[in-house]
Amino acid sequence: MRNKFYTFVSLFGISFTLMVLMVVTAFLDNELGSNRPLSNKDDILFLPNLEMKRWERKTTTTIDTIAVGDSIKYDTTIVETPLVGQPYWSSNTGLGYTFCVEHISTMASPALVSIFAPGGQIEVYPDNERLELNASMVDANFWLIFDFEFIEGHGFDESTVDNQARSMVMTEVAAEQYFGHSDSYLNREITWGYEKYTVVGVVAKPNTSNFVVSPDIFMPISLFPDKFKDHDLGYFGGCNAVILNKKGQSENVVINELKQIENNIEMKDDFDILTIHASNLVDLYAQPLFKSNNNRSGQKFLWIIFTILGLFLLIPTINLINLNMTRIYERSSEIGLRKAFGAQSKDLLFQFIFENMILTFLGGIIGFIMTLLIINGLNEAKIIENSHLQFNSKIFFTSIIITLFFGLCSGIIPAWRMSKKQIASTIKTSRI
Amino acid sequence: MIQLKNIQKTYQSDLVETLALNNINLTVNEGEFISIMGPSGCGKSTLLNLMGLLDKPSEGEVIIGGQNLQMEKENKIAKFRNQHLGFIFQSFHLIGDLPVIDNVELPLLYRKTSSKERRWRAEEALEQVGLSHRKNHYPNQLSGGQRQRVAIARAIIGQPSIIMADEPTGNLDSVLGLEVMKILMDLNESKKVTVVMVTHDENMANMTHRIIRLYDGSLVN
Ligand SMILES: Nc1ncnc2c1ncn2[C@@H]1O[C@H](COP(=O)(O)OP(=O)(O)OP(=O)(O)O)[C@@H](O)[C@H]1O
Ligand SMILES: [Mg+2]
Repeated sequence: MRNKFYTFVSLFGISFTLMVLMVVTAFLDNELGSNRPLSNKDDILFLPNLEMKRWERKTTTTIDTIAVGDSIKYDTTIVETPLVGQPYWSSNTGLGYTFCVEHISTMASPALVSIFAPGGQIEVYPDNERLELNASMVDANFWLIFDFEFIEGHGFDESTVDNQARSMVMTEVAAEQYFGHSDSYLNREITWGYEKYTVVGVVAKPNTSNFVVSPDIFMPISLFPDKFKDHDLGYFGGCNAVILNKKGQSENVVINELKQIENNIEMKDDFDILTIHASNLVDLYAQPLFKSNNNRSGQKFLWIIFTILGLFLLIPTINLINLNMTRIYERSSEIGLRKAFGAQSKDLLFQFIFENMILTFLGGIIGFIMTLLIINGLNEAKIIENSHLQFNSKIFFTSIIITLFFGLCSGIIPAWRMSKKQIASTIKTSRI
Repeated sequence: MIQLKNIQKTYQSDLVETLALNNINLTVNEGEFISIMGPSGCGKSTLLNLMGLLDKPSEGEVIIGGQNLQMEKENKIAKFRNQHLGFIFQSFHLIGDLPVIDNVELPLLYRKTSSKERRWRAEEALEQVGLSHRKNHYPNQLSGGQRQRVAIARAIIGQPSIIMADEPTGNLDSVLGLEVMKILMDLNESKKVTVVMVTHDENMANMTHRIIRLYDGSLVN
């Protein structure tokens, strides 16, 4: 009876731990996995902003006195020397469209470059009801780099962008919000401001919350007003760029070419230095969490996550080992008996590990069901904005591996210790 | 044949050293049915455990069927026990989670035997102890006498040449005890199984071929 109680506690612990692990795996996979439209995520670098700095200057005034006849003439020279490393002022914001066209799109190392203006809130009024949507202005390459799942239609091609066609691609969710439920939204019109836009494509809403691909609506970047495209200062503007690296080429090749641009570019507006911040998907995700300016904090983020997960797994594993010790200890007379009748240590080891695996597997199944329920709940409650958790086979297999690992770890130690027990001392007592 | 030569067994606990057996020399012949008697704590179980290779003597030799296995690896000893020895304990040591038939099959799990063969041999063994009709019951659904008969079926399923029984009737009333005794005697007569039995009961002991008396770790004549 006590044994049943321990089994139940173990089972509960296993289910709960595995559930948390599965939810976290699902979350990480949805946010940071290579799922559509981010299948190419390992080859993608995002350029969300530029930094330009002006160094502090030391002013030296030199006055020369020259005697011209009777009078004395003063000749003043003022020399300004920049104090490198001491920023006088700096600015960190989006990229100018012209800068992108002239310097990023012309880069030799990338396979593709896309320029876009990331999401801003727009208001539309279907049936006189206010609807806020997040809109991005994108170019043709955007649809080549990000493999959106098109339910209908297609992205913008070069000519759509060049002709400033009033076209829109929207997510199915947004289309349904605007038009009401329908089998097809293609070629229907949306009114924004005084203009009408035609729906040329409908995409499935991505599960990730990544701001580049999560807007509700996409329009050609050519419709983006010039004054927003480029600011009147430095190389700043309202745009972002995305670089798709060539397959198999090291990211460093692209980074080095960016460095060259930084070094060779002609400075303007009294700035002394330009830095282009490049981040991958994980960096982009980690940056706001760390509230830091470090644009490559993704690695650190993953380390922290995996360390926490490791610790999270460690504590219940130790607990489970203890529980298993007690559970198996309760059965020491059975162990003695089996040994008396010829069981070898390895037979018992296998038996207990096998039993523990079954238990873990049961826990895994319960944990799996709880995970599905939790994911469903999280999605319904929309806890994480723009993020929609989805369970897929990848997560399932990761979970199975985690489960097996958990079962092995927590079973092996107690089983090994018990299988080494002396027989004579274990067969003294038995209740039945 | 079981031979014990100059056996000494001391138990070492933290502070005290207990001399459980002292200078035991004993031979049990093949096909013999002997009983070991003596007051509580005199070392009967210790002696039986040594003869059953469940424990090792501090000094001396245990030779069974001409083999001295003391120095062998644990696995080899386990195999030997599995093939040649059967055990019956005072408290029955059945596994509560398993039905009777699975309890009986247990020794065969550690041999190369098909599950089919295990099954019919377990049924046969249960038949011998008159419990065929209880094979699917669980141990806690049986009386004490029935449990001990299941334990006997388990001890004989592997067809051992020697059975070690530590107070097999100790937890049973005299009628049930006699039943168990009859089964053991029958095994000894018809199958020529050597039986070494520890008992407190003079009547039972008198039914065996020879009585060994232990006092304070030593044999008395
Ligand atoms: N594991 C052990 N550690 C220390 N001392 C032990 C151990 N097992 C037995 N002893 C001691 O050895 C002596 C013999 O014990 P044993 O169990 O063989 O007696 P027994 O004759 O079987 O007694 P009983 O009739 O009560 O079963 C006793 O004094 C006992 O206290
Ligand atoms: Mg005893």
